[in-house]
Amino acid sequence: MNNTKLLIQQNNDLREELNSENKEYYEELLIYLRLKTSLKSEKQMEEILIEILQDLLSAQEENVSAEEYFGKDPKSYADQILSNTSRNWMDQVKLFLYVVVFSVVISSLDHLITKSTIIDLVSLLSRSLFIYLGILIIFKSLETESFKKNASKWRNALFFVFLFSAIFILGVFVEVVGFPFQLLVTVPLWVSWGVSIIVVIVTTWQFFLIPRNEKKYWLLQLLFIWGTVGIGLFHYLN
Amino acid sequence: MKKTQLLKGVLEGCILLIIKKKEVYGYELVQQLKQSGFEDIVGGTVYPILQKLEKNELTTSVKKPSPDGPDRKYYQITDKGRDYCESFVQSWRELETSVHHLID
Repeated sequence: MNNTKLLIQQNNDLREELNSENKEYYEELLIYLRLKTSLKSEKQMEEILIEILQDLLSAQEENVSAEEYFGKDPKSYADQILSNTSRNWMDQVKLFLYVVVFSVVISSLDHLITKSTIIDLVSLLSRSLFIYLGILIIFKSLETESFKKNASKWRNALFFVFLFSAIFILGVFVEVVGFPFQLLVTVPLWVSWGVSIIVVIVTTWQFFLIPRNEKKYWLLQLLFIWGTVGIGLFHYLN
Repeated sequence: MKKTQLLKGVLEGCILLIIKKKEVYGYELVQQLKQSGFEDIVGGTVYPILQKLEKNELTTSVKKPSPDGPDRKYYQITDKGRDYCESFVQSWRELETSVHHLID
């Protein structure tokens, strides 16, 4: 994975050398390929992406535009590249696990305030599943949006907003109605506190590591976490 | 008939022949194809073919450091690739002869 992260970093740096026209062309291709790689090997895709980037830069040096070099129909070439890239289910599994961990964290923070000591694993899993589906829909909508002309962009956006809302409403419905069966697990308060403290430490530490210009995007999340813990503390002391 | 239709079957063989002569990276390959007369070829057509060739073990790739930036991927031919080249050249010669006869 480290190798892949390095490739992505190198890609980010190298991309800056493209002129604005070529950069636009390449970035559309980049986003499309990256989004569609969800079930495929990310490492293979990043290797191809940087190879194409390097070649586009060579072309640029000879005053050949990206479109001239790569072709007028990048989407069809991209699809061919995708069909030749190997599958990778592990990344999907990892994504789902991230979502589960996220749900557990939210549950822990919630327990601080409600002082609850029970987790229902069934509802935790169903919540994770809906969040996961929501994420997939967002990804799908972004990848189909690439290469679309303005007119159908609206139709496309509308379709996915509809789909996302449907999943969201269904998810909330399932949350409220619940399942006929539950899998209750006792989670003593100290565990919820432990998880929350770890989350606070890790996110605050990560926050300090983010470059200055990106800090503002994460501030809200950090405040949310601090706020929740603060409220939990308040309840605990009363 | 558009040249592109004739081209599809033959392109893989041609690309292999270029790689057989000397190891190349993507951009170089496209340049050489253009110089050989495939003026309308674009990069987008070439990358999927390069993927396929490597997948089928007809070529192998090696990363070499480049003066400006990350390592560059060079394609080399394998023994299997050389065998494929031989049979491609033979099939091409046979085809050429047959078509030649029909034209005259």
